[in-house]
Amino acid sequence: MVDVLEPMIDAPIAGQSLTAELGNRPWQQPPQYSTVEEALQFYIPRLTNPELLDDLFNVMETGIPLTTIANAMQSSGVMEGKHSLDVGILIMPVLIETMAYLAEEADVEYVEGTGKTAEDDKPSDSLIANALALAEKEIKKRGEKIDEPQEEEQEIELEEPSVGLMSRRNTDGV
Amino acid sequence: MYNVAFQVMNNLTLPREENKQKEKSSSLLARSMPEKNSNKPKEVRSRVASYVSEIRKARMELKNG
Repeated sequence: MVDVLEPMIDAPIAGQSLTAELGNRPWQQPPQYSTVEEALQFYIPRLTNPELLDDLFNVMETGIPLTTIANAMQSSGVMEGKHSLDVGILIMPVLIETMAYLAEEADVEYVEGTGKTAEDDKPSDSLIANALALAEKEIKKRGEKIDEPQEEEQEIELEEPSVGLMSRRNTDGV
Repeated sequence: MYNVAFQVMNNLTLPREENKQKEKSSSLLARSMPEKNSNKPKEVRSRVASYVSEIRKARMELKNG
């Protein structure tokens, strides 16, 4: 999930794209494969290549999700000018499903990475810190103090049954 | 980092299994139904979804024996 509050440290430097002549980069050229089918015809034989398959299974067994592998594959394809970014995004589900199929076939354990984990629902540290800072500000504004909740121990006293002659009878008749 | 593949997989709507069409009556007084144009080119998204569903079907068959 995108967290706007976190700084983008790995982002490109402003103007970095203008450091080379326009059209010199492979992704600035017309893509080699312009349709989904053409791009898949490029990827699928590579995925099923027995020489590359062992490396792929090794990566899968390390626990890297298939979504991450597919994303890396298509990103490198875009960088090499094989296909455009939108074609890359479109073919990703097919790549993930193919990899899952191959892993099932070879009985290799893999993480698909499409399900939600408990970590996904957990808010980030920066978000918590920001929320706390905002809450503190709000409290200061109102002039309220944070009172620590006092634990009140309630003692439950059990009434002992009266044994006097004039005492009320129980419903049980005892 | 923003995981595009996660979003793409979750936003993918797989095609439903089409119900079998009723056989047309060949009688003279049969109602004339407009023929569905099955040769209509599919949208890219639906094409991708159909590829995924085919591979998934094969995977499930493999998994379930």
